[in-house]
Amino acid sequence: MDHPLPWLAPTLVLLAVFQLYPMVEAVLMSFTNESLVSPDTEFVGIEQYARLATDPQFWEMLRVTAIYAFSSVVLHVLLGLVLALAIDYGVRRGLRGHLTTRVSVLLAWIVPGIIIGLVWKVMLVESQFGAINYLLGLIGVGPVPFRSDPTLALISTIVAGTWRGTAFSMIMIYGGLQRVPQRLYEAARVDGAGRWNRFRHVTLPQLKSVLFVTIVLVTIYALNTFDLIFALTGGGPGRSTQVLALFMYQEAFQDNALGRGASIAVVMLVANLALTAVYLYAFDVSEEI
Amino acid sequence: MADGQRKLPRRTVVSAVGAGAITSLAGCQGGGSGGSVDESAPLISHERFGKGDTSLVYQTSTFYTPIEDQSDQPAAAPALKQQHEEWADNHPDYRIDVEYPAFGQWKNNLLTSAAEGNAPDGSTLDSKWVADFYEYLQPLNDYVDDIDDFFPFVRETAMRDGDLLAAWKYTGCRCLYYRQDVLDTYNNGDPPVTWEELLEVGQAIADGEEMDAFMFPSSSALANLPYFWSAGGELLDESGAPVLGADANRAALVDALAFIRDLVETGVTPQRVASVEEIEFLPREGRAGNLAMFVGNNDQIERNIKNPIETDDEIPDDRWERWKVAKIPRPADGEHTTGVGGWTEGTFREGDDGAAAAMKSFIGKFAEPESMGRYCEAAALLPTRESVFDDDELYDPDTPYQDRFREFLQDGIARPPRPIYSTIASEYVIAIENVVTGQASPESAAQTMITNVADEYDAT
Repeated sequence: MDHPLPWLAPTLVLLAVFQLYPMVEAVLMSFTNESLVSPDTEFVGIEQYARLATDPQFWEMLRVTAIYAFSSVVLHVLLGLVLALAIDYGVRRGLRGHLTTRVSVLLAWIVPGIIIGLVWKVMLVESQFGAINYLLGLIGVGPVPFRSDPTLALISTIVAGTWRGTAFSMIMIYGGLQRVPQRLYEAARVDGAGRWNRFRHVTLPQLKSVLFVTIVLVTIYALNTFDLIFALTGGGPGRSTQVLALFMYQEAFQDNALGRGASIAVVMLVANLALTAVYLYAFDVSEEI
Repeated sequence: MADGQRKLPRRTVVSAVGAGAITSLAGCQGGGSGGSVDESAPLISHERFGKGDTSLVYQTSTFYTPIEDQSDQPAAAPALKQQHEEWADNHPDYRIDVEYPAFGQWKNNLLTSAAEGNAPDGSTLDSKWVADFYEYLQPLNDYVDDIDDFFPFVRETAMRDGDLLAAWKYTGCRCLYYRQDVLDTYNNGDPPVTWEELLEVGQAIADGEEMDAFMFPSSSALANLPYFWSAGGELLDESGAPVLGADANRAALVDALAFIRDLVETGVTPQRVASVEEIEFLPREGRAGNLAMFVGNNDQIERNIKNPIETDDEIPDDRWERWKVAKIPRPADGEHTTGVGGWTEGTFREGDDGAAAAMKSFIGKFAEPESMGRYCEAAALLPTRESVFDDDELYDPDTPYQDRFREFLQDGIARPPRPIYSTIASEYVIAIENVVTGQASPESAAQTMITNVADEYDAT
C-alpha cells in the first residue's frame, strides 16, 4: 500500500463527479445556445464569448466586479489581520474578552449571505424605518441614500460583505499567528527590534503562506459573491452594483439562456484561475504550500 | 450533578441524531402516489383531491391548498375545498395527486419537464409565465363557458388562435392611492388626472407639507408601464417582436422616462424611490404620514392600509378612510391604462377523453363564475369575469373600492404574453432607476433599453 493512488482515489472520484464533470459541462454548454425554453440546442462556437466581448454592459459589470473584489480583498485581509493580532495579543496576555470577540465576529460569518443581505437592507432603509438612517436622523443627518445612490450602493455592498467576510480572514490569520515560533520574537528583541520591526520582519514573513491562501480564497469568494448583493441591492440602482455572478444568474435563470450564463461562468472561472496564478507568482510560496 | 449519574457517550448521541435526521429525510421522500385510496380517508386532503383509482398529477402552491391548516391563505381554503369537492364528486374514477414545488425553481423545472414531454397533467401558472408555456398548454374552450365574459386582457393574453390556454382565476390592478385630506387642501379634493396635474399638485404638497408628495414602486415594471402605455407606446407587434425602436414607441418611452425624471427633479418624488423594492414600503410610509400619494396594487387598501390601521391601538380605526383610489395619471392627450396580473391554471394533458377530460374539467372549474366568486371574495382578490362583479350572490366582499377597481380593469393591460417580456421588464426597471439616480438621461436610458431588448430578441 505504498502507492498513493488507493488513498487518493475516493477524493479523486468525488472531485471528478462533483467538481470536474459540472465544470466540463459548463464549458461545453458555453459553446452552445442551450435555453430553458427551447428543446433545440445548437453548437455556436465562440459566439457567446464574442457577444460578451462586444457588450459594453459586460465591461461595466466587470469594472464593478473588480472594484467590489479588490475592495473586499483589501478590507477583509487588513481588518482580519488587525483583529487576529488584537485577539492574539489578548490571549497571550490573558486579557478578558478575546473569546467573546472571536465568537461575535464568527457569528457574522456563519449566517448565510442572503440573510446578511436582508439584514443590511433593512438597516439601510432610506427613511425613519431604517435603523441607520433613524440614528443619523437623531443627530440631524440624512436620510442618507445608501441604496438609491449608485456610489453609496456599491460602498454599502462592500461594507456588508466586509462585515461578513472579515471573520474568515481573522480565523485564517489567527491560526497562522499561532505557528510563529516565539523564539523568533525573542531573538528579534535581543537584536533591538521594536514592535513595528518585529511585525515587519518576523510576523509578516511567517504569515506569508497563510496570507497567500487567505487572499486567494477571499478573492474567489468576492468574485463569486451573489447572495449578499442579490438580497441587498439586486444589482441596482440601474446596474451600479451588478457583478458578474448576478449577470450570470440573470442570463441563465431570468432570460433562460443557459449557454450565455455558462459563458459568463467560464469567464469567472478563468478570472479566478488567472488571479490565483498572479498571487502564486507574487507571493513566491510554491515551495511552502 | 451526582457522580454516579451516567453520561450518554458522545458517539451514541451523534449516532442517534444522525439516524434521526436520516429517518426524517427518508420520511420527506415519501408521499408517492399509486394504488387506491383508503375509504376512510377524506375526499380532499393537502396532497390529494378525490379518491379515484386513476391518478392525475397537479402542481400548485401552498397558497392554493384547500386545507386551512396548511394554507398560506387560510381564509380562502374553504372556497377551494368546496370547488374541489364538487369536482371529485363528479369524477369518482379520478384523483388529483398534488405536488407543491419549491417556488424558486418551480417555473424553470416546469419548463424543462414540459420541453422533455414530462410535464404534470396540470399546474397553477403565474399569468406572466403563460407565454412561456403556449406551445405546451392544451385548449380549455370546451370546459370554460362564456369566454366573452372575461375582461379584454384575459382574452388577449390567455388565448392563442381562438384557443383558451389558461383559466385566469383572479387578477389585480395598479392604481393611484391618495390622501383625501391632503388633496382637499391642495387640489379641491380631486386626485391628479394628468402628469401635469400630478407635477403641479405634487410640488405644492412637497412645499407645504412635511411629507413626500408621490412615490411609485420603481422596481416593478408592471406598476410603471402604464406611463408608457398611456403615452401611446406599444411593446410588441402582433408577431411578438419588440417594436420599441419604432418612432412612436420610442417617443412614448422617452416621454414616460422624462416624466419620471421630472418627478424627481421637481422634488415631487424623492430619489430614494430607486431603492423601493418591497410593495409594502409605500403604504407603510403613507400610514406613517410621510407620503401623500403612491402607486400601489388594489389589494393594498385592505392588506396594507385598512387592516394595519384597524389593528393599531394608537390610530383611530376610521383613519384608513382618508385613503382613496384613482386612476394612474396619464399624459394630457393619453388614455388611462393599468397593469394587471394574477394567477391562472393550465393543463398539459392532451386529448378530450378520460383522464384529459377530467383534468380539463378540474382546471376549468377555477374559471367558473361560482367558484371564482367564492374564491375571490374569500381571498379579497378581483375576479376576471365581469358577470361575477354583477352578482352579489357570487361576489360581495367587504374590501373597499370594488366598483373603482372594476372600472380600472376595463383599461387593464396584462404583461405581453411573450418570453421577451422578462427582458423588457428588467430593462425598463433599469432605465427608470438610471433616470431617477441621474445616471442617464431619458433619451439615453431609452436607447440603451431599446438596444438591449433588440439584442436579446435577436439572440433568442
